[in-house]
Amino acid sequence: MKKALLFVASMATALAVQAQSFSPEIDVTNWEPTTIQVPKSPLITQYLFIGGHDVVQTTPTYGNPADTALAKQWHDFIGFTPDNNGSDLGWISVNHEMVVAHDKIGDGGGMTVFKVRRDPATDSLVIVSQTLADGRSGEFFAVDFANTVGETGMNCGGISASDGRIWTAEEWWRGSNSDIADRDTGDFTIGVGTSSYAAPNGFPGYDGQTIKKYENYNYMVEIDPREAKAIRKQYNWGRQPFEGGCVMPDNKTVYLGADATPGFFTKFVADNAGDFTTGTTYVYKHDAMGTKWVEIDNSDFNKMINFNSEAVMAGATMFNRIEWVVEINGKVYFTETGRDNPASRWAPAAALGCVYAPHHMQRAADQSAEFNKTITPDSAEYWDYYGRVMMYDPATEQTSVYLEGGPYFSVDPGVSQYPDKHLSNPDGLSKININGKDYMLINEDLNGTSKGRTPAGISNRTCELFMLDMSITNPGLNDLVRIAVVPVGAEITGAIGTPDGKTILFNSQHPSTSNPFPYNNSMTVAITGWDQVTIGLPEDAFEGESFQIYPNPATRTLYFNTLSDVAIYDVNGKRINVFRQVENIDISLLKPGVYFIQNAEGITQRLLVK
Amino acid sequence: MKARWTVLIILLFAVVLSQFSFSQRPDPIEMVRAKYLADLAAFRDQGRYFKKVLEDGASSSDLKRAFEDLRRNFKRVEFLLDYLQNQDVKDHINGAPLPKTERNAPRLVIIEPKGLQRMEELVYADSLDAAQLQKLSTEFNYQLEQINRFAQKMPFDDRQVFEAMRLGLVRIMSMGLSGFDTPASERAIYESAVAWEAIGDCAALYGLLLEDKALKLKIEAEFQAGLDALRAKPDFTQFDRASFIRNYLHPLYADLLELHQKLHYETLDEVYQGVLAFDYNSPEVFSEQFFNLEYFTGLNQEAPEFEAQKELGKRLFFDPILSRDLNRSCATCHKPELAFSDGLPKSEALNGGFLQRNSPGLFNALYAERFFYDLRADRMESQMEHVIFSPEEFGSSYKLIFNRLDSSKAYKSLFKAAFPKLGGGADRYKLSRAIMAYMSDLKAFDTKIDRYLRGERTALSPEEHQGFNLFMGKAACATCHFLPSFSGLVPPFFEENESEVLGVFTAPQSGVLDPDLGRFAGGVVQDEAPFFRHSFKTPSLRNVAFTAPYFHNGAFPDLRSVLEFYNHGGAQGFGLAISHQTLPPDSLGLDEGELQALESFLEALSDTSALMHH
Repeated sequence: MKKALLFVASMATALAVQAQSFSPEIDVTNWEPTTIQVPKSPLITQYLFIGGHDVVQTTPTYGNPADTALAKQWHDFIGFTPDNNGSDLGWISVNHEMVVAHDKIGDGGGMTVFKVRRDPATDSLVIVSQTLADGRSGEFFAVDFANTVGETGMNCGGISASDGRIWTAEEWWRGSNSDIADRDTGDFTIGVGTSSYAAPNGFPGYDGQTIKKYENYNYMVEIDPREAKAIRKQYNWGRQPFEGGCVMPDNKTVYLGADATPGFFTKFVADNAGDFTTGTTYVYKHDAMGTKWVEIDNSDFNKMINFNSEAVMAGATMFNRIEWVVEINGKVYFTETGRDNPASRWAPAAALGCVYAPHHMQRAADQSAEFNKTITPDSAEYWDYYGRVMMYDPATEQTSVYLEGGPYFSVDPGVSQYPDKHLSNPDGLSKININGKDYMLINEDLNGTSKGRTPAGISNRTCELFMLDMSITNPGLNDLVRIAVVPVGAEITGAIGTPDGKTILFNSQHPSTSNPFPYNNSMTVAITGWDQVTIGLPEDAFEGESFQIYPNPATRTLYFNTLSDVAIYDVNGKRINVFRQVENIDISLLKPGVYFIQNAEGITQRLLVK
Repeated sequence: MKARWTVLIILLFAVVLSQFSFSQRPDPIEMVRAKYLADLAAFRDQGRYFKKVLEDGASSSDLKRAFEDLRRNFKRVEFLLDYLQNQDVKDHINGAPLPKTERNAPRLVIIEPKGLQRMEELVYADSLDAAQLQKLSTEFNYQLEQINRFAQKMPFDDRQVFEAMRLGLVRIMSMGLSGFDTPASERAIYESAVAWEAIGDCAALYGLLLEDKALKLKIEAEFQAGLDALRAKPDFTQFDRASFIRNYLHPLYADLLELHQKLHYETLDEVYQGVLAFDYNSPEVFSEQFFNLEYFTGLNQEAPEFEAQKELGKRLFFDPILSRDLNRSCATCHKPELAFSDGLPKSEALNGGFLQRNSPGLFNALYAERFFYDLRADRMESQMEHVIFSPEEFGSSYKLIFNRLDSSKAYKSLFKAAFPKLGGGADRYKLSRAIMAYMSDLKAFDTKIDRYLRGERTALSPEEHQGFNLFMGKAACATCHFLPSFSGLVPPFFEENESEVLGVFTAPQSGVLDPDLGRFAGGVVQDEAPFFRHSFKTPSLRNVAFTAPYFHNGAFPDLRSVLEFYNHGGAQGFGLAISHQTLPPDSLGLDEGELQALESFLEALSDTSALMHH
């Protein structure tokens, strides 16, 4: 004990930094401080589609007539289909990442679609009533999978092509009939269905193939958002634990990601533009001679059903859980969400000849240097806590790290400052073009709370939505702009921009019940007005050295010109918030009114929040 | 000893003051931080030493000694480490010695147990599996290395130290004294003393900053007396936990809050915009204020319409309008006079026969992360929905219910008063919210036991006192029915519900395993792991005296039959081969007097004052 304390004394001499102590109350009566005005946010937030609350129209299913039901929950991916031939804005397709038996909607997961138009006066979105070809009328429609392609499960990510075609991805990997929530587990014949129900939408070339029911899961599934029914399971892209994908501008090439360790990166090239039923399927192998794409013969149905073993046999490049894929200006970006200690997950495939993506070899080399021992990606010590955003360049056929998660050796951000300096386990990835400028939209989905992924003492996972200006060369974590206008405690998924650059749509997935209605349900949220606001902190926001505050009313953020401790006091001078070591703070929870803000040097300004 | 301590502290003052001549007072945070890093490094070094002892093929007693030192090193740093790197501690350092599933993974991945508790089982096993222990020890040391590495760059502030200290007290009470994390060694009291002392040392640094010496002296005296008590009688079965909590731990929980406030450091509510499961600003652990109802339910008890919501909920709860044939209500199976259970082994089904499981009592039922015996519902709405839709229960539908409610004048105005800001008629949200508002009144936080532990003028009978100590010690009840909820709500963050595999029989002595697969078959894909077969939610024991018969199948008619089942060591104790039983198969060795004492304690864990409002 004594020894330890002496040691403490010597350390204290070296390290001590005194934190500012803010008085619990300040006198606000006798002086005239500078006033900072925070105008009302010009953004309009709308809760478009609330799971478990809004009513969806269903088709005749399992012998039940067409009916209505409360929508499923667990919203994930959002697809957007522009209404190019009509006067409305377009159709929105929402995934339900779940497996649950449902008499009317169908077993497994599912999707809901609805149509919106813009209110010409306010630009806000209005849900349009529709009558579909099958006679269903209403606002929200359950996508019919059961009577078209057989059920789906865990609809997580997907593809939202620029021409409006939509694919939904079935992620949760099924290894046997015992892990599916289907009540009918009879064999499934493509183009026919099971012995007890019909699912006639087959696939050219594969019709008549009979597979186990669970083998009819884990595909990209194309849907028709206009008619709220599935078109086909994309058997020719292989059976994989899919998460995301993108269709390139040539309307022939598709890049696909699989959420697994090892996760393989797949490409499909259609013979004819726009027809994805015939073409060639490849898996990525970065060390291949010549082209880095190895064909997996999709004329052999067994190879598609057992795509994973084919990829392993091809010695494909291994990633650590690929999530969403997006094309921006001809480049392909994808999130690699990471897995803390992946060793045992990909070591067997490595033993069979698969190769680690180059950045994992580099990471292993860096970690070897740090630990002073040989570490390879399949070593027990190899870690990948934060994941990253990757870029694939079709011109060079090479992948590289675009934005590394972390930071590693992070300074704990502290509750108040979270998450400005952290990007952990990026998952959803999409884009929006606002006034001619491209932005990437990055959604987190934390794999854990350790190693600085959430602030100490807060064990709840908090997932965030970031925007990244694509014109920045070599972007870093500080270039991320957090979109602060979100319900408290909600996990954000599925963010996507409308083609007119005005609205960002996202899902708040399985929020805790402690949120007030409607935030306690999974829901689809629209935030409109991005074309009218400043995003982030303008370069000329500050002048001179004195303490300054720049409010961004749109994202409800206060920026400071120096890193500081700050406290916020209410109108009566009672301390209500303290933030430590911050350059900006989120004030979205401050109700309109008068506040006072004090920095570490005791400089106090009045804050007028509208 | 005491005097030298004081000299040292004065020396520290001198050092720190010389650094901060511009400041009025020294800042303890960097001392705490330096001590934390030093203790963490010592912990890591002991991990390496333990591995070396193991590899050298040391004797069993040397190995045990090295392991005990390793645990001691952990306990010294635990209150900060478990606060600052909670998930690392759970995943790698001191998690329960049970398999679990990987978080947030796209498929079911089972993670085998690791960390100190699993290592302890091996160290204390009759024959040593050295290879397995070496594997665990290697992994443990690597993770500890990583934790050390990351800790270097993670600053923390005074507020966080106070949270860590107070959570540390809760952890000592609920996980330490109960022997939760010492599955094989019975060294729980020794280890609690180490953790207690570390918190006390830290609190003393802050006490020095006080101008009010009375509080400083009170805190020091309580820590010292508590330490003396822990050291005086460290025997696991003999330690008087009831008196220790009442006399030292509970008062200190309040004193440290007072110290925090007097030093003007910000509190959690000023930095975190969300809601946590517990209210940091509660001075008491055994009180209604301690748990945050809002976290579990989202109910805003301060809202002006809350009373109207409760009134509506109460009416709905007792009104058969929710059932298709208007012949049963929630109260059919949740009768107020039976603490909202129904006294039957399994509730009666609508069309004759019985439901799958026993009807649980509803006191404190809202304080849970997941619902049903199999934990399949993650929210109250889903729980109610099951009853409404089930053809065996209400056999009803929302359409039918909403139509009925909307065409009733009385209900229309009740709904309007309860949800003045929401338009439209009855809906799923309003329905469930109102019933939850009613259920929020069904609280039981003021039992005789609570009052005693809070230090109020309540005496426990000698039997009740002994019963509490048995519950916390020899009878090993509190390792699953955690304090202060007496349920499976896991301290100190209270964010998850545990379930257990006991191997409950079809009848008390039948020796036949009840076929119900419990959590495994609940339809939650992440729960489809073999170790969730026959796993059931650990319910709260508050008001348990009124909710016979017991267990998910209601096959045990009284408390005594349940206690005897446990005393045997569950199904395995009776010799039935059941895999993944989470209850140790050994007999607890409780004699007649001890069983009687436990029963008296459980009966004292009653608070039905909420029924007075009926």
